[in-house]
Amino acid sequence: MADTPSRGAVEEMISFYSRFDPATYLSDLETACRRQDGRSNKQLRPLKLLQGVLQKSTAGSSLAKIGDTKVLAGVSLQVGQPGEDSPEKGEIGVEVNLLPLCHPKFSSIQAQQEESKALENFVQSVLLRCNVVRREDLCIVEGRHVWKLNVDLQCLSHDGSLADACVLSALLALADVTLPVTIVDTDEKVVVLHDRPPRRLEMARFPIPLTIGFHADMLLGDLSLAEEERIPTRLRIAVDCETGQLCTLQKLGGVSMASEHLDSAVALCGARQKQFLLERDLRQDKS
Amino acid sequence: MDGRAYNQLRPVFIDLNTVSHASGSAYLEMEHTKVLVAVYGPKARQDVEFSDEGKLRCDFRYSPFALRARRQTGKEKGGREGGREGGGGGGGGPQRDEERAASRTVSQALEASVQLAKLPKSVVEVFVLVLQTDGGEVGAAISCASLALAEAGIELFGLVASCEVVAFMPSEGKREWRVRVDPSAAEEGGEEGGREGGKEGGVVGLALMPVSGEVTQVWQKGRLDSHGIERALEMAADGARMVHALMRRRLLTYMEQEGGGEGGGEGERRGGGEGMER
Repeated sequence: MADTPSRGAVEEMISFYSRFDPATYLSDLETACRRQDGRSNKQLRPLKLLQGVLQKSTAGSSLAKIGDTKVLAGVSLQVGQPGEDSPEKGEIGVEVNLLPLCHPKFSSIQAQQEESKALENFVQSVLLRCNVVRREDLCIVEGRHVWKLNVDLQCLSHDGSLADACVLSALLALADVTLPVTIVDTDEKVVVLHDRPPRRLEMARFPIPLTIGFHADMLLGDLSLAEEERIPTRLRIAVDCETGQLCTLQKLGGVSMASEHLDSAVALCGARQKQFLLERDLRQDKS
Repeated sequence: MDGRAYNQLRPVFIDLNTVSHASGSAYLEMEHTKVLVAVYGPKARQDVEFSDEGKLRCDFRYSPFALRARRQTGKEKGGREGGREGGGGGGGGPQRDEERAASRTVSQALEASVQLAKLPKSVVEVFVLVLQTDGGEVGAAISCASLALAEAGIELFGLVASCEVVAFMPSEGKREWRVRVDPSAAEEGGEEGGREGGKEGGVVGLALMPVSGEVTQVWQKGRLDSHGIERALEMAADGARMVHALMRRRLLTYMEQEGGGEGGGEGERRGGGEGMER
């Protein structure tokens, strides 16, 4: 045995330990300050974002990677009738697809639906309640025709914090959408003019999400799947990408926590915001 | 149609180990056709009490984006339309007819390449997801799945590479077949693919294990006479060898990077990428 074990050996030990005796592993986390994948408590996994990956089949698309979690988003356009109570507003629908391909726990249809419905609700609530898109922008003829945007989210690899990846990829796909120019013909039908340059959908707000775990009086940023399985107390926070102001805050079950933790949790989400802005600038430099 | 030579593949991109929790996974892109495959197992077989041989189970799915695009171009047939308004299906629920047919094509193409005798009482699950399709997705799925099996460290007789071709008769009167390798959806769906104008022509797909020269799967759509099929199969085999060379090269560089993780049982063999310009 070497005196100082290599980094890989330490990680392997932690991984084995966490599986073999999860309770002790979690209580030791406080003193060890080292997570299963070697991160410190507040360290987030690397973020990678790509836009326009499915140009052939979607109006807007993106791929979001948070560590090993990958979600692909595609937006398709449809012309439809507006709802009666909002005649000048378009609609945005979200669908999440989880297959046994991305993780074996989705092998039964029941397991797929349970989690996908929860994710759909969360993404939908962020998209609509935070007003990421002015729905008036999706109007074609008031009271008659509006654009309906279907956001399809396909999970490609699941390693925790799936909700964050879903929200990010959905937002980036929406930001990638171009709406074609249309006219309404004499039969009251909407005709798409393909020769005119389409208009880009404008994003009114861009909330940046982060899932934070709370365990033994500690906040753990950006949970991996193994951590998610053991830490039931979770916070979901989203802050605006420009101002850093709070957009969404959810606490999902688990133990109660002191309110001062909330401030540091929001601050932690600011780290994700910085990560996002950095990644965005990198992308813009490239293009 | 897109300025390629008749025997030229579309640009291929391969990535390995893309799904973190899978035993092995691969991503293959042929320009706009994009396929992701994850392999899980070998694990204990539940359906029978004992079996001498392992089993390969394949699940082929289209992503909602791929399905929508197919519907728009009228390629999606089948009476049993999902019917969910705006819903792409894809996710949960049973497979569609075409997905089930493709699952069978892929698993038959791969079965012969896996050393199933070494996996008694086990099942290996192969999950295929077509992210976007522009023709040739079944062939791409076979090549990609073979890579994923190799990456999972499952013992193979060899890598299976697959290629689709479209055969058609360019001029009236003269019975002379022309064959185009790796057609895009526009190329295989148009007049050349024998779908329009009542002309003879069709699409032929071939899965080949270039190491042993064994053909593991052939499928065909459209009208072709025996001479046409012969020409098509020749060209498809050439195409499959080109794909194989790319697959093999990618797998070797991957294994060097990973520091000698155990790979599939791909034997030592010449590449066979004669016509590759890339």
